[in-house]
Amino acid sequence: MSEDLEVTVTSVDDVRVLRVCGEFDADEAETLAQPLAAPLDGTVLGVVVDLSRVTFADSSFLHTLIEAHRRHLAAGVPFVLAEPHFTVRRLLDLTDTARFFTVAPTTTAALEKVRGTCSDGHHVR
Amino acid sequence: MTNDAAGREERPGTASGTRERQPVAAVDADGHQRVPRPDGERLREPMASAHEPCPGTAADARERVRRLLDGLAGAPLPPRVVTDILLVTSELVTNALRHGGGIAAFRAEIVGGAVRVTVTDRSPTPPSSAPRSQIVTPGGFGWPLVQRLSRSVAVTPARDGKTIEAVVPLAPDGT
Repeated sequence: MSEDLEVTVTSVDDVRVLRVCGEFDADEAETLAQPLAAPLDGTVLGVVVDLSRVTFADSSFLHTLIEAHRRHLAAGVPFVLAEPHFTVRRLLDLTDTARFFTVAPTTTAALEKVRGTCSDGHHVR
Repeated sequence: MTNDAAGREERPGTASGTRERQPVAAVDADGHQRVPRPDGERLREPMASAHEPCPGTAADARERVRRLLDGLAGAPLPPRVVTDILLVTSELVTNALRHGGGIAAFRAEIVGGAVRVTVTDRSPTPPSSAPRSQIVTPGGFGWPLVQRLSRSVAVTPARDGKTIEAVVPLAPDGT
């Protein structure tokens, strides 16, 4: 069991940034699902999920991300995956699901994507 | 063209990683060599070797497999190979715990350039996945992942459950 498993949430200029660390399987799905389900009030410009420190992820992790993606899409809030660790990229590749997500190589690039989306006329309410 | 456990040489030219596989979800593994004996002999086999108790979580099972891989002689395995093996382990064990009524037996072993992960659960219902058209809906990724990553997968009836055996190569196969 990974002891450093955690999801930390910070805010960078109204963009919510989740940093996801550790091994994620079905037993740990809630650890990720809960912060991803946080209310999206009008002040959240977008959500960035930093996946650079995910050391293992299985299909339950993917399910959680897809659910979150759909929810943010429905709310009109940009949702960007940042710097997916090798194990996450492998999971996305194997399941051919990378195309559903917006993926950025770094958190900085992800923040830019969110802001770019917002200033491109896809304004959140 | 055979697709059984001995089919190491199948389609050597395939490099795309989308090797077709016969559906193995049917409990009655047609043609598979590892058909259980009517008396359930095969079910007892993994249990008899249970030096360690069955893993209680997918994380426990992954740890067991990590130890097995760490014990291998030679150069460390490529990260992708390790990831793939852990993924198969996690999916099989999670499925047994969540949908198979629990784990009756678990075994991981090295066999001829591959890892064989064997999980016996307590439900005779074969594993399944969502139709491909529903792929945007969460659910149903686990079993296709197991099939995709394994050289062979066999599902055989066990007493009051089923045994799933997945053989995952220790070397990348060109995918």
